[in-house]
Amino acid sequence: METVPEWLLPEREPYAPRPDKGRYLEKNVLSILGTLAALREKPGAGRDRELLRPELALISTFLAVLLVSLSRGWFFLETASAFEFGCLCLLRGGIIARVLKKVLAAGVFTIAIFAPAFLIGRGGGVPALCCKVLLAVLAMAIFSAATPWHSITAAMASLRIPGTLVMILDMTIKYISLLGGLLLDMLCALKLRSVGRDDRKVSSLGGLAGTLFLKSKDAAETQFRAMECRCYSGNYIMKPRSSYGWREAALAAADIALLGAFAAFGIAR
Amino acid sequence: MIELSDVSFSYPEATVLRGVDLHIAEGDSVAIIGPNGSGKSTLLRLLCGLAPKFSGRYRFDGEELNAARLADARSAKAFHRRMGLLFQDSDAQLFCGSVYDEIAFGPRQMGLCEAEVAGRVGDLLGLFGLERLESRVPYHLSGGEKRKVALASVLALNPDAICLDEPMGGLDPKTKHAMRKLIKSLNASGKTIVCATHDFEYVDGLFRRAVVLSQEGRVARDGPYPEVLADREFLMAMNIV
Repeated sequence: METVPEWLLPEREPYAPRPDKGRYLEKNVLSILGTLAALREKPGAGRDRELLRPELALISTFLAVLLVSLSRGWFFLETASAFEFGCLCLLRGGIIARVLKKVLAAGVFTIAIFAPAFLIGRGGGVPALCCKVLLAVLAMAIFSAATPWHSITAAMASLRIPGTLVMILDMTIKYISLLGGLLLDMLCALKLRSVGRDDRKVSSLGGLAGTLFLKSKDAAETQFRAMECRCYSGNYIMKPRSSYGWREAALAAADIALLGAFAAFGIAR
Repeated sequence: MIELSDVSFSYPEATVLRGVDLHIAEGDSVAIIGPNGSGKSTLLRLLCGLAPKFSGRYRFDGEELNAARLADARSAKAFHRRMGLLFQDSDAQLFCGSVYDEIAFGPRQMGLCEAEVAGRVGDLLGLFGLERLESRVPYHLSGGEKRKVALASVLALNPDAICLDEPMGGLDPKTKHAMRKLIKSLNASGKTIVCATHDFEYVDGLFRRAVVLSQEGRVARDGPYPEVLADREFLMAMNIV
């Protein structure tokens, strides 16, 4: 290697950054950080993580959403609300706030969608519809907040959902996390070198997308080869989980009660 | 030049750095040593302003550096120009369509005229022996070539201090020697070098000081590099050798 060029010698280089518009780098970094944090949350980190066996939680969520959607009576919706808010109370304060924020956003969106029906005087069924949407979103949000991603896929596996589908979901989550980490690093690197005005923002972001695509293609090929080497036969078997406890029994009882309430008050108006 | 006082940093899942005190003078060369997960990379990111939500005090060249200052685009950019970072994964750092554009990215951002940009790029291509790769796509280069291009792209901004995250990682012996020679000449020319490393064989004689981070993210030792590296018992206890 040659000697260091003269301009690299530490004569303090006077530099005033040119003004530039947009905070797209910061916004992207923050949004990726949020997604990665959600994906990487460790199971058992708080008492709300894996509170229940995930397969039972998945069945209960599916049941709650189905029954709420099919119900035709207010009394059943009130019963379902009590059930779901009871479940919500088992979570930590911060998580409850996060869940309620999602439900509130869904509520505002639903009202905005149904507002024209009110305006033309055909809003009779709208309150019940709004209530159903809120309860369905609440059930899903509780499930998503209380169950780590890998537990959801494990739950799907134990519910006899085809292994290939579960594996694809598992890998998708893994690669969102891995490539998200890489993208985060790339955005940080871009930020560190974006010391003035970037007149070619689209080209810079295009470069990031291109590198990410190449990296994901390489990773997919490597994964394929690795699976071939490990004699992948098409089966994707996950470790059986621990046995059921009193919590699961309580949830099963609550599910049966909810089914009973639906039979009694949910079918007829 | 760099003064950290009682600096701690946490990710949502864990605290990585605890009460770090570190003073690095202009032109100094410091090796950051520690076992995996001790916070070496996080410390370098913090030094480069990529982890603004730390507690404690960080002064760079006598000026306080905090989240508010880093949120201000102008001062953050001025700071980033003076503090370069070589990432551990070179792929994360390279995003342009050719080696030339990759190195020219920073100088163009600085608003230098195309002749000056070409001058800087030419000098760096020569310095790193990358002339024949000028028009190649960085992603398709070998690991060593990518590392050289990444470092050249950092140097193109003419930073006052350079943080190197495992610069020898994944390189063959010849490239390691070349990298070592380059780091040495950069430091000899007055650049401040902070380097996280595991590769003691190839960095011997390169650094004046060694800062050892413990598994808990505390500074376990800060002293002359040869003295710290000679204490094998301490290094074994710290899970470093």
